[in-house]
Formats: sequence, C-alpha cells, structure tokens
Amino acid sequence: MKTPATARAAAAAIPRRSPRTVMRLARLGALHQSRLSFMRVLTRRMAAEGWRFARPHFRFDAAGVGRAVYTATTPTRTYSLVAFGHDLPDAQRSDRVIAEAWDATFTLVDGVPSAADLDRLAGQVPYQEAGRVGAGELCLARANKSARLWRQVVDALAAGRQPDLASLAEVGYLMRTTAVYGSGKFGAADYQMIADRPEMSTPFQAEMLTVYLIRVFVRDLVNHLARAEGGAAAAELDPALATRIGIGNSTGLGMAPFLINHPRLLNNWIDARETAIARVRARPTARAEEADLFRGLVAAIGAAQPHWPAAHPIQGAKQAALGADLARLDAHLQTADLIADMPWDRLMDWAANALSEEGQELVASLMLEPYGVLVDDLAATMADRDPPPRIDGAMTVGTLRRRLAAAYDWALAVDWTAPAAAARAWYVSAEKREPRLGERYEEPIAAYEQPLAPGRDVAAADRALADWPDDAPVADFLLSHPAHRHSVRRIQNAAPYSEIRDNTIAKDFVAIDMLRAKLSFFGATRFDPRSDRWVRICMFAGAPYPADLCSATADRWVYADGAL
Amino acid sequence: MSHGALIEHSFSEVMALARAATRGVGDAWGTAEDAATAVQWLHRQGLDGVTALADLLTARDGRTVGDWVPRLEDSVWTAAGGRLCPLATGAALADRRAAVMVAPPGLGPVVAPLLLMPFIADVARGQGVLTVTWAGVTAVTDGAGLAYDGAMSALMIGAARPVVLRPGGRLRAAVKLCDRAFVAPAGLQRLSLFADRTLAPATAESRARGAGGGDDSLG
Repeated sequence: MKTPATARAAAAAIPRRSPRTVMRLARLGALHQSRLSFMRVLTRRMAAEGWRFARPHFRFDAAGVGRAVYTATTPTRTYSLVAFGHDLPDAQRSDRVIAEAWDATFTLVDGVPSAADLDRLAGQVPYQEAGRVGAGELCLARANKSARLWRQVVDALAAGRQPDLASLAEVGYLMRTTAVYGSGKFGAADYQMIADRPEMSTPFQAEMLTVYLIRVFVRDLVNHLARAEGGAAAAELDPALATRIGIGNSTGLGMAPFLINHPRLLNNWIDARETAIARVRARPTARAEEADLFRGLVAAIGAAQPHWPAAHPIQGAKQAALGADLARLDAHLQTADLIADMPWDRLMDWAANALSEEGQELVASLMLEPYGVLVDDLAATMADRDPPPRIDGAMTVGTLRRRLAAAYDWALAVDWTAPAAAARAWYVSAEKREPRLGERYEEPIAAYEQPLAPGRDVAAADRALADWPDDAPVADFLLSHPAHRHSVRRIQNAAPYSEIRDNTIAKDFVAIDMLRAKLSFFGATRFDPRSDRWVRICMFAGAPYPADLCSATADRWVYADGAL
Repeated sequence: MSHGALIEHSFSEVMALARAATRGVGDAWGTAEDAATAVQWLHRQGLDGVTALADLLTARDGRTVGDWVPRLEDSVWTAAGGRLCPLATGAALADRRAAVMVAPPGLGPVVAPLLLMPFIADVARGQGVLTVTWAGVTAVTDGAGLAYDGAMSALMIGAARPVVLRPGGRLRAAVKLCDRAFVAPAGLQRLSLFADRTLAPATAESRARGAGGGDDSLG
C-alpha cells in the first residue's frame, strides 16, 4: 500500500487516459452524461447568475393553436423562445426529420421580438426547413406530442385527476423534438456571432436553452388544454410530476457525421472530460461526504437502471452488461475504501478490470460529481473558436509520415481492400437531402460518397506518400496529389482526441455509437435505440422549472428520484 | 456594396454550399474545403464570394481538373490549359507562404481572380502585407483586413486575367467586416445546381433500406 507521501507524488502524475482506449467507437458508444454535459452547464449558469424568466405572451385556442413567447434574461441580455402551436392530424405525426407539419414549432430569438418580428416569424417558423430565419434568431426547432401520453394526460387533468404515474415514468416526456437547428442553419445567426458571450462559451448553449424553454411551454400547454376541456374542474399538473417530465428527442444518422466533421470540437469535449477524470483520480484522499455522495448516486442509478429502455438488441446487450456492472460495483463498494490512498484512481483501475465499458464510463462520470470546484471550469474549454485549420506546406513528407503513423496506426492496420472493411458509404440523398449510410457494393452510391471515413482516406494518403522522399515539402506532394489535401489537413491538425479510432464504413459499424457519444455530452438520458441508426432520448427530465431554479436545484437534478 | 436585391445567408450556409458545389464539379474534398473557407472570407469582407465561385465553376465545368493547376517550373506560374484556377493556385501559394511572402511568383491568367484574395490573405497573415493587381484593381491585405481600389465589375470579373503579386503595400481604410453573407440570387442558383450534383439519386434499394428516422440535426 502506498504511503500518503508517495500517493501525493503520484497525484501530480496521473495522466489522462490514452486516446487508444478512449477513442474507440464501442467506448464512445458507452458514454454517460456528466457534470460537464451541456444541459447541466446551462442550468448551473442560469442559477448562479440569477437569470429571470417570464412569459409575456401566451394565447392558444382549445385545439392548441396559437403562439407564446418566453423570455430568459441574463445579467446582460434577453433571449426569447417564440412558440407556435398547430393542430396536427394524428396521421401526419412523424419521428422523421423529414416531415412537413408538426404539433409545435419554435425559434430562439436573440433579444425580445417586436410585434413585427412575431408576424415575420409566424410566416417562416411553422414551415421549418422551407422557411427562413435571420441574424436575430439563434435556433429553429419543432416538436411533436407523444401519441401515447399526451391525450391521456390532458384527459386526466381535464377530469380533475393527476395522470397515471406509471405511464409518465415509462414514456418520460410529453413532446419530442425532431430537430433543434442552430449555428447558422436556415439563415440563423452563426455561432461566431455569439461565441464571445460568456453564456455561450460552452457548446450548444443556445440549443439547450431552446429545449429548456420548450419544456416550460409544453407543461403550460398541457395545463391550458386541460383547462380548455375541463373548465373549473380541471386539475393543474402536479409540479412534482411535471419535474419528472423531460423533452424527448429522436435523433438519426444526420447527426453522426458531426463528430467526424468537427474534429477539434470532438477533441475539446473528450479532452475536458478526460482532464476532469484525471484531476479527480489525482486526489490523494476523499472526504466522507464526497464518498457518500458517490455511493448515493450509484444507488440511485442502480435503482433506476433496470427500467431504462432495452427493447433494441444492441441496447439490450448494453443494458444487461451495465446491470451486471452495477451489481459488481455495489458488491465492491460494500468494502471498498473510498477515503484513503487515492481512492478514485484505485476505483478506476478496479473498474477497468472488473466492468464493461458501460460500467467504466458510468463510474468515471459519477466520480466527477463531488468535485464541481475541481472540474466545472473545464466547461469553458469545450467550444471551438479557432480559425479554420491551415495546411503547413513547409512540413517535410518525413514529418508528416511520422505524425500519420503515430496518430493513425489503427487505420494502417486495416486491410482496406477487404470488402467488409469498406462495405458502407456515407452519402446525401437527393430525395431527402440528409446523410445516409448505404451499401457500397450493392447500391450505386460510391460516386457520391462523403468524406466520412478518415481511417481509409489517411491510409490512402500514406500509400501515396510512400513514393516521396522524406525531405520533400508537403506543398509539393499536395500539388501532385490534391486528392489528399483533406487528409493532410486532418493529420497536421490532429489533437489527441480529435479522431474516432475506428472504421466508420465497416460492415459491422454501429452508427448509434456516434449518436450516443454526442448526446451524452448534451446530457441526454434514457438512450432508446430504435434501430442501429436512430435513437430516442430524454432531455432535462428532473430539471427545475424557472420558478424552482436555484443553486440547490440547478446541478444534480438529473439524478432526482423519478428523473432517471 | 449595395444589399438591395441580394439574399442574406449565414456564413455556415454559404460555406456548405461552396463546399458541395466545388465537389460537384469534381474537385477533391480538400479543395472544396478551401473553397468554402475562401468564400466565407470574401463575404466577411462584404464581397460576393458565392457569385465569384459560381463564375469559376461555370468556366471550369466539364473540363479536366489538371488543366487548371499551376506548373511551378519557373518564376511565372502557368496552367497547361492556359488559365489558372484560383483554388489550385491559391492553395499552392498558401502552402508556400514563407517563400511567397519574400518572392511572389508571377501568375498567368487566373479565372475569377478575386477568389485568390483569401489565399493571399492566408499567406500575409502573421507575415506582413501583400498587394495584388489585376484588370485595373489593386487589392491590399494583411490577412485579416482588405482594402481595394477599382471598379466592382473589375473586382468581380469572372474571366481570366493576369495577376501581379508584390510584397508590401499600405492597408488604408480596410473594408468593414460583415457577419452575414449577401448573395446575388443568380450566383446562389448556379452554385446550388453544382452542389446538387453531390446528391445521390434515390433508388428503390435506398428507399427500402431507409436511413432510419429521427432528428438528423440537433447541432
């Protein structure tokens, strides 16, 4: 056993985990939300800065047609959610991103919209992709009612009863977004226009604020419709029930390319989490209340996990593994010392041997929880505000080749001529204008392939480089081989965690692992894959509504009873 | 320039369009990425990069990519086909930024020469100031800023013109930077047609296989 002195010496030297471990697709597909997740960063900031919320406009008929405005005011500015309610026939309700009508449509306005703004937005926002927003808008979104739950809840409230808890717990949300567009989409303001605002220093804060306010709107709308139906006899949705309800989201293949197309963002996200993990591992000792908090959260997850979705075989296997992990973790924690001798480092070492990747990543996320003071500053390091990555043409071919071999050894080990290694191809369909994953050898799609297989493309660059002398400048190589310009830029600008170290066009590639990785950083829970390429999740379940938002409620709401 | 009759876009929209359109005429993805960055840089200076790129791609469409790439054999860069592509030429300049800053090469005729400016700005960034002239236009950049003299029609010329590069120059009254792109509708329309070529036509198989569903967009 280490002495305290050697433990402290070791503490300074706990490295972040290797990209070889972390950047494998299976592990990225096992990530869980953490205190660095973007939803939690937002709620902590809103409470810490005392944001004020108001609902200056709310007018809907008994069918739910109308409009509302919600404002969120920071110490220096106001953001407004503009919501439009529509009367959507059941047959038109679709999870697909491709649709033409929705139950509700939204935009997040930068500031307070004027009456003229509202009229302009009313002519655009309900049409989503077919409409345009402008520099004064930050997000465009839409949501559909949960067919299962909405009617049931309105009917119960209209009759003066609270809705059935079991149904609420099973579904978890009353409305589900099918798109939350930000950063310049459909004419909205680019992220660069707002990147220097402190409240936007963590990625996707405008999108998370949009969803947070949509959740308030959904609660208000369900109460309004119950009153419209039940009159004075109607009940208001019990605040405790309302708090358990999140916003659903269904997310498909279109999101998957994001992590490949934004390597610096991916690096910054993973780097922040790995740095947080390393900082906590380096703690020489833990206080009793820190250990107790961890044990309590493990118990909360242990109680909730058996009820998490497991219908799809992929998720079923992960759920089974996580269930076994939690049993092992529980047994281990019966006797484990979480106080002395670098307890978190020892726990991570134990987990690496005893648990599946699901369990390991859950432990890693949970052990950050007692240490906000130590890790929360990392949330401000996760955005990417740098100019576009440049190519260094003066670098020698020899240096480029060495960098390539160091960062892409995993790609050089693949036989890319094997049919199974390149069985898939990413393309964008003319019909839907959305990314798709097709079968290269069965469909005529190879000519339309998107550059979403960095491993294969870097390996091809490596073969082309083999004919060049070590001292030749990269500029000369690229003049002869412009086809490798994309890969050379990637190699030269590679950061430790910027690349998924797996084959993204393999026959056995699982796209939802990429979705899970991204959504975990948003703070999503209840991963519910509906196939190998789209997933339903829940957002903000357990989060305090504006009236209840304070420093005591703003942080660990995700573990609240009934939220998980 | 006047914003009348122009269509307002976000930078990410014009970048996505420029990238896809450049790929649509058969250029490499890496070149398409350069084109997107270049178009954004021009729109940041208030210049219609989308229309400049549409002019270039229209001129190049259907012709062999290699014909437009610079040959660096002597002090004047020329293309096998007689006219230089500003994307290939610009990339070759930016890839040699230290040498170019000291002794810029002469350039044969360049199609849509305005599209060279973002690459020349990339050369100048952190190194100094470069002055570029073509067709009666003089443009000066230090990387971030741009100042120019000359008629807008000459600045935006789509035809090929010899371009002269020289180190130094004075950056008087750099143009005000914009947060949004203002695009001539015709340029937008032409670029969109090139971009559409990157889209795979639907087939019975692809419909049957489906893409899955859901939110393709949170982000």
